[in-house]
Amino acid sequence: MKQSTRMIAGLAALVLLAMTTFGLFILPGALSAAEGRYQGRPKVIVLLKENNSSMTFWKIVRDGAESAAEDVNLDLDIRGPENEKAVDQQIQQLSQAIRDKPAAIVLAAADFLRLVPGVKEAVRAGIPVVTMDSFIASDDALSQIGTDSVDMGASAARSLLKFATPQPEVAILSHIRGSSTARDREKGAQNVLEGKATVLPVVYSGADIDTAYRLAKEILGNHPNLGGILALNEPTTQGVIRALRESGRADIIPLVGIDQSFELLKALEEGVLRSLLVQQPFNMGYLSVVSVRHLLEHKPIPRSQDTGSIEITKENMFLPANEQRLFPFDEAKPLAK
Amino acid sequence: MKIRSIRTTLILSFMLVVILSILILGISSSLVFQRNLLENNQSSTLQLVGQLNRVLDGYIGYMEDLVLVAWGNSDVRDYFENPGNDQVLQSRVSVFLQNLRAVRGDIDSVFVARSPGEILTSEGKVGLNPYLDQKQLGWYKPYLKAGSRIVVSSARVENVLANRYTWVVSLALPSEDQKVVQVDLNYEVIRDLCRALQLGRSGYVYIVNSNGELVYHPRQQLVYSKIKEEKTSEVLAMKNGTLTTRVGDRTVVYTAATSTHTGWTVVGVSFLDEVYSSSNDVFTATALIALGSLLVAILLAWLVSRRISAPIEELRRSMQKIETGDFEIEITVQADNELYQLARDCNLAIKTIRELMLDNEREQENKRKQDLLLLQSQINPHFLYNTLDSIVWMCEMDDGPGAIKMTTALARFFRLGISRGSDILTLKDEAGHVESYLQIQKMRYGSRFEYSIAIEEGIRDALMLRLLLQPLVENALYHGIKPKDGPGRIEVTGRREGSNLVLIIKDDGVGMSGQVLERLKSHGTQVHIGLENVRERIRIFYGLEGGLSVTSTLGKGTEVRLTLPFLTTEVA
Repeated sequence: MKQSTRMIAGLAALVLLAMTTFGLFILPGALSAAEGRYQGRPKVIVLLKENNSSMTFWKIVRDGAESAAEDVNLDLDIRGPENEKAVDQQIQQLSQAIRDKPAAIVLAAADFLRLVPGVKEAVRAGIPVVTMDSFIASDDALSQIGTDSVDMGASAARSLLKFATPQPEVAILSHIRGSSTARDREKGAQNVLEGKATVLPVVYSGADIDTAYRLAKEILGNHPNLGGILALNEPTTQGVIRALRESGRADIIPLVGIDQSFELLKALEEGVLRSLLVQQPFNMGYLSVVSVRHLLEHKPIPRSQDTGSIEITKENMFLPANEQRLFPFDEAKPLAK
Repeated sequence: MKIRSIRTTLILSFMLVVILSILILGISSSLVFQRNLLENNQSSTLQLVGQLNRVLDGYIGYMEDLVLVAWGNSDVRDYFENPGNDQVLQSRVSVFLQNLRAVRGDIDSVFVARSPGEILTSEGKVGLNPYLDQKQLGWYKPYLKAGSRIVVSSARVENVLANRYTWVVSLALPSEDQKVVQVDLNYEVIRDLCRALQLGRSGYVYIVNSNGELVYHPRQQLVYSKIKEEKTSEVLAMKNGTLTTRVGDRTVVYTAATSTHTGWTVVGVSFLDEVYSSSNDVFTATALIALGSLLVAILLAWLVSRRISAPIEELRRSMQKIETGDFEIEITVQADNELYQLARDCNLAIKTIRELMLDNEREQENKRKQDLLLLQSQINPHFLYNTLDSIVWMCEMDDGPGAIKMTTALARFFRLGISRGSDILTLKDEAGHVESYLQIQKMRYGSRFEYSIAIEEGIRDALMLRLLLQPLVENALYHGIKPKDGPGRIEVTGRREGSNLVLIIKDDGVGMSGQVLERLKSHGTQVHIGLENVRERIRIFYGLEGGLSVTSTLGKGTEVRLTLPFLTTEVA
């Protein structure tokens, strides 16, 4: 009896000692290790419309997404097809992404309709999807983060009317027929221009500079009284700038473009381009990744988040707030190290 | 009353002690730890921020010196003062600017402007931006302030050069007639200096100028888009020091240091939850230790209580058996402490009780036997026959008064002699009883003996055990007087001696030899059964030995002396 009691007391003391040691020295390390492993950095796949970083827009989206990943502690895997027209490739990449079992997927859909089955499959596999910039014809995506394209088209048209003479003849050069952005931007522009301008039939550049140049040249040749041009995306705007500069009619035909690049900004300074409606791709990338973090933490997120568009002119392009939008320095570079 | 077992009490109190001490210790230590963490964090952040500020001051100061050097250069002065289009002078100035720029890799470009459209640069081959508004350096105008000659911009995009947009911080020294020397610093230098400082996991440093414009912020665009909020106006109002405030859903510690030189405020941003994150580890560790200690405490309490409460439980069970009247048990307790002694003491007590009970039983038995003997002696048939014979004889002799007297005496003898349930009677009645007896015997024996009964005045109501005197008187008569030749005398006296009642039966009969007396004292004989009966009854009733003493001299007589406690009422 006496002996066993002593043995048990000794055992108890040993247990206490072990627990103290564990609590003081091992646990904190184990906890931080566990933090790293479990709640630490879930992997999120960002599937862009294109991922060869030639387009400033997608480069800034990436910067925003990477900045957010750092701020909200997520691991990003950014993918995307060679160019915006490679819908098949993006569909394949989406199914590959589902197979890779990320915590969530951020998708900039290359096609409004054709990406729907892939998103449905992801949802079935338990992977939440948010769409960014370009959306899909389904509410399977938990949130749409991007520019309200109708609003942006309307702003572009309003901006053009400021520079044009009353009741101008206006040409609209859109990019990809059937894409949601093209459709919505056209719609917004048409709404504003209706009754205030004569709008020529919309033509499509296929988001190709040369095609846009050729189409613009054709329109400029066919319409001597042309009073304004709306170009609905960046390569289209570039093509139109080239044609307009060559035509020498930049003084009398105001051009309003959409989206940004170095060339477009130079043209803005030059005066060939009167104004530019820019999206906020950094905020788009940032907010979509932050939304994913909120999703993973089961916080409510709005179904639709408009990141807005901003009218840039030669006068306001060097204001501090716009400088940062137009000439972003690489913000996503790791803070330390 | 609610009964709680010792085990529960022990476990609860052990737990209470452990929980309380750990709680107090844990909370106080983690509070102290948190305060230290916060203080350390604040002082180290303040140091870092101040350091960055000094580095920036030194850096900007050095660049300002370069601006002054350029301004003081004789070719530059010539260019400013001679408005002509001297190509040689202009190329000399350009070379000078190129050399100046080459001094340090972190200078992006150097400009000298004389009038709109007349700008010389260190980047000779690049040329000016053809679309530059009014062809002049105008950015500094909003920054002009009385007192300071050299103007320092916040972060800006330089667009003076053709096909180049670079992020710079510009220093300009303008004259009143808008001649300007400007040095552009590569913005990356400042950005990298700021980025090198990381405060906690997600803390950072940003710089704001006195107009509230951001010189550097790691998420500049988000701040401009109002996606990210900074309490810059509060920080600027404070200039130097620490501000803890809530921004969004986190508590932010702003640490600011403002340079008097540049007017820039370097702001360190750290997050309280990250500052405290290591204190959470301590808290978790404390909680775990508390849990462990609690388990150990419960285990110990259980063990200790088992050593105490198990023997007590055994003891209690034994006591319950005793309550039912079983005194034959022996308590065996498995313990090596005070409880073992307690059990042993209990056993001793039980043994004593057992013995007392046996004694009691024996005495009861004795008493019954003595009572029976007494009764037998009372209704001694010989005495009754003899007395009745005497009465008959008296009647035959027509001695009516004698017969009446004897019958009356016999009746009184039996009335007083037969118990009415009480063992106690007054000395008066006891004396009356023995007197009746002596009257009867006197009538039978006539002149063979005389008797006297002398009871002291005032003690006749004293109480005593009944029927003590008659057997002794009977003895005196039959064993003292009867064997003697000639008449004898029996004297019964009663008196009080202090707290004692002393009764003496004295005869002048044959007496006893010392030998016989010894035998009498040591052991009651069959013959002297009356004496023994009296002695035993005194012992049992009064609980005293030696209440009866016999002194005798052979041929002279015998004296029996009863020394009893003097009792006046039954309760006394």
